[in-house]
Amino acid sequence: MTVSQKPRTGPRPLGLHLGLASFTLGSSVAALALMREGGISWMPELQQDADIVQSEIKEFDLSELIRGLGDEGCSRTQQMIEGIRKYHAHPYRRPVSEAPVIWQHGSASLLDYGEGLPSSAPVIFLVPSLVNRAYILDLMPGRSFVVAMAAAGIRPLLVDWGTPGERELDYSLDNYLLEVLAPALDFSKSQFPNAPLHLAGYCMGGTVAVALAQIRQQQLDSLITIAAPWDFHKGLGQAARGFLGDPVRWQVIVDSFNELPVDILQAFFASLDPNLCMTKFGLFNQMAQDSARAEMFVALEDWLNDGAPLVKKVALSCFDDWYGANKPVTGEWIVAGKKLCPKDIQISAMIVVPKSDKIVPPASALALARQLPDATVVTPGSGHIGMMVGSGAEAGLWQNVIDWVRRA
Amino acid sequence: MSSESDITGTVTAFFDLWQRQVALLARSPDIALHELLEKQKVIYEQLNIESGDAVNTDGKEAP
Repeated sequence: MTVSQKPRTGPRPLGLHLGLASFTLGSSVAALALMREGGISWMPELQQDADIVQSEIKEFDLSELIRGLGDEGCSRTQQMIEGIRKYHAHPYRRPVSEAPVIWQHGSASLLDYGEGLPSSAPVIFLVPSLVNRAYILDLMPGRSFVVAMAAAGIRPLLVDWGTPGERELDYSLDNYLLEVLAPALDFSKSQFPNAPLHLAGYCMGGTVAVALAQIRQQQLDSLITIAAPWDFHKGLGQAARGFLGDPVRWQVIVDSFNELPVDILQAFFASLDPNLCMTKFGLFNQMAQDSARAEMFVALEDWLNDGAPLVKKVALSCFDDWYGANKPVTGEWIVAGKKLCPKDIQISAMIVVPKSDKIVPPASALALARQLPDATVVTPGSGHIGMMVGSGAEAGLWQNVIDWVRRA
Repeated sequence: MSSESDITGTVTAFFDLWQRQVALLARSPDIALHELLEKQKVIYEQLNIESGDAVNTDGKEAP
C-alpha cells in the first residue's frame, strides 16, 4: 500500500486564514467598547447570551477588559499557529487506495471498490464533486463510505475526476457529461449487465448526476443525490447571490487564471465561517497527537486542502447558469442540447439533505425533491462533510443508502 | 472590584460571543450590510446633534 507524501501547506489560503483571525481579534476590541454602551445589534439568536455578557462587562473597567481581551486574543492566535505547525508535522499519511481502475478517459478514471463481489451485486455509481477529491468517499480505514458499501454487498464504482489536464482544459459540463460520465456509466452497465444500477452524486456531483439520470434513466434503478444544490438562490441572501452570480467578477478571475483556482474556491468556503480556522486548529493543538481523533483531523484537513481547480467553462457555467440565473430549478438548464426537466425522470430518487449543512443550504437541496415525481427525502442530523465521514455516518447516511439500495 | 479569574471568564465569554456574531454575519451579508447602513445613520445623527451642523442622514451635507 502506497502512502501520499505531499508536503502540507494548508489551511489554504494560509494568508487569508491568518488575516481573518486578525480581523476577528481587531474588531473584537472595538466591539467590546461598543457593547458596554449597548451599541451593538446582535444577531437575534445571540441576544440572550449577549445580555448576560453585557451585564458582566459593566462590572469591569474598560482598560482592564481591553488588556484581558488582548491576552485572550494572543493566546488564541498562538494556539491556532501552534496547531497549524503540528498539523504540518503530523506523521499520519493517508494510505492510497489500491482499488483497480476499470475505465479511464483523460484525467478521469473509474475505480471498482467491489472486488470479490458477485457480478450480480447491486452497483452504486458514485459521482463526487468536481472541486474536491473523490477520496472523501474513502477517507481512511473506518471512515470509508465505499468500504461500508462493499461490506454490505453493494459494488461501489467511484468516478475519480483527477486533476484537469490538456484534454479537459476546454471542457464544458456537457463534455464531462457526454465524454466521461455517460460512457463510464455505459461501461459499468456492460461490465455488470445483471446487476441493479444506482446512480449517486455528492454535492455538486449530485447536481450533475441529475443531468446524467435524465439522459441514461433507462439503465438506472434509482437516483441518489447527497447534499446536492438545486435551487441556487435558496438559503442565500441577496448580497451573496449578487456576489456568486456576478458574471463580470468571475469572468475576470477565470480569464486571468484560465481556470478557477483551488485557493479562490477555498476562500469562498472560508467566508462561510471566518473563525473556523482559529477554532479548529486551536482545538487540534490541544489534542493528543497520537490519538485517533488527531489522525481523523489530519486526514480530513489534508482532503480539504487537496482540491482540484475547476476548468474555465465549467466554472462560468456554475456561476452564470447556477448561482446567477438559477437554471436548474427554473427548468432552463440545457444539458446535452435539451432542457433538464426533473419531472421527466421517472426512476425512484432518494434526496439526502443533511440538517446542519452550512455549504449547501438544506432548502436548496430539498427543492429537487419537489420537482421529481418519485422522491424520498432523508435528513441525517449532521453537516455536509460530517454526514459522510463523521462519527454518525455509519448509522446515518451509510445505512440510509444501504437500506435504499436493498429495497429498490 | 471583581477578581482576575472573573475578568478572564468574562473576556472569554465575550470573545466567543463575538466570534459567533462574526460567523453569523458572514453567512448573512444582507443583514450585515443593513446593520452597517443603520449604524452609519446613527453616527451621522449623533454628529448632527453634537456639531449642530446640517448633516443629513444620507451622509450628504445639506445645501
